Amino acid sequence: MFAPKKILVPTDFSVYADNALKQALDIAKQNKAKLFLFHAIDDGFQQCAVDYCINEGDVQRILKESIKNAQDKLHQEAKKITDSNPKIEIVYDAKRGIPYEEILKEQEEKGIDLIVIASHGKTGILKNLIGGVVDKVVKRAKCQVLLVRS
Amino acid sequence: MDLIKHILVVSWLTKYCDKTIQFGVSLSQKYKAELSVIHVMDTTWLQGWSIPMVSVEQEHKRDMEKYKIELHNIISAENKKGMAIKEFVREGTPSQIVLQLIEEENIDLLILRSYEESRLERMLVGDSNDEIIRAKPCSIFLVKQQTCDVG
Repeated sequence: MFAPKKILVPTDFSVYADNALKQALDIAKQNKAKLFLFHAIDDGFQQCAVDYCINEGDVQRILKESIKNAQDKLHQEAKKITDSNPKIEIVYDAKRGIPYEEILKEQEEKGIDLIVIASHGKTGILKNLIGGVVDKVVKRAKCQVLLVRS
Repeated sequence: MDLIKHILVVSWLTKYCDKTIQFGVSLSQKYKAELSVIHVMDTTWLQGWSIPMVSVEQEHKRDMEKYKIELHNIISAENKKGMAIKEFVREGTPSQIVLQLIEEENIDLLILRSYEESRLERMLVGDSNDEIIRAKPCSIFLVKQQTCDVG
């Protein structure tokens, strides 16, 4: 019987990710599982453009702020969930790095048994594309993955 | 999960796929959803040879028949327990057939066996899986290979 106990939900705060979170919440309720809400901030920060560079101090400040902002947003999301579902245990974290690597690291470190992730919905010619992060997570994760249609 | 009313399990007719079906049974019981299983017999690679490869063809078909019977037994056992499982057996290009069935049967959740990125695996099931995932016709649950092996 499939009964995940630790569910990881990577979020980019989009409506698609919210949809995946809803599904993860449903599964968590059914299985009394712990939810891990996670946001990875892409480290590929471009410091220079043509002949202009942002100084190192500003870059560090921006990166620090981005972590703080992400933590605040995750806190709000987690609070929304626990307010309406007090029995759900939820942990959140934001890390800097290559998103798919951070997600996979988180999965291994926390012993996650299910990743619930949104496939990005696009229209027209982009309909058949899914995000690069999602693609890599789907292929490399060492646990079950639920890809929620956007 | 109110959104999930109909689950489809894809069986590639290999020995690993019975665990995928068990995942489907487990999830459909949990979410009180209808469950269907499709066995796809990939016949694309049998076409286009200039020299007939009768022995290989026969061996391939014999193996598939063997797995089909095994999987049918699993499904029958579940059916006897009171779980109604619809069974489809089709031949052709796997991804096209699966995508077509998803549309016909209004599937909400697709359960696929995931694969490792080895060349052999990719040759056997990788491309079909990729094509289905990229088309993202509905939510997809990927069952990891290790889970299937350990079972």
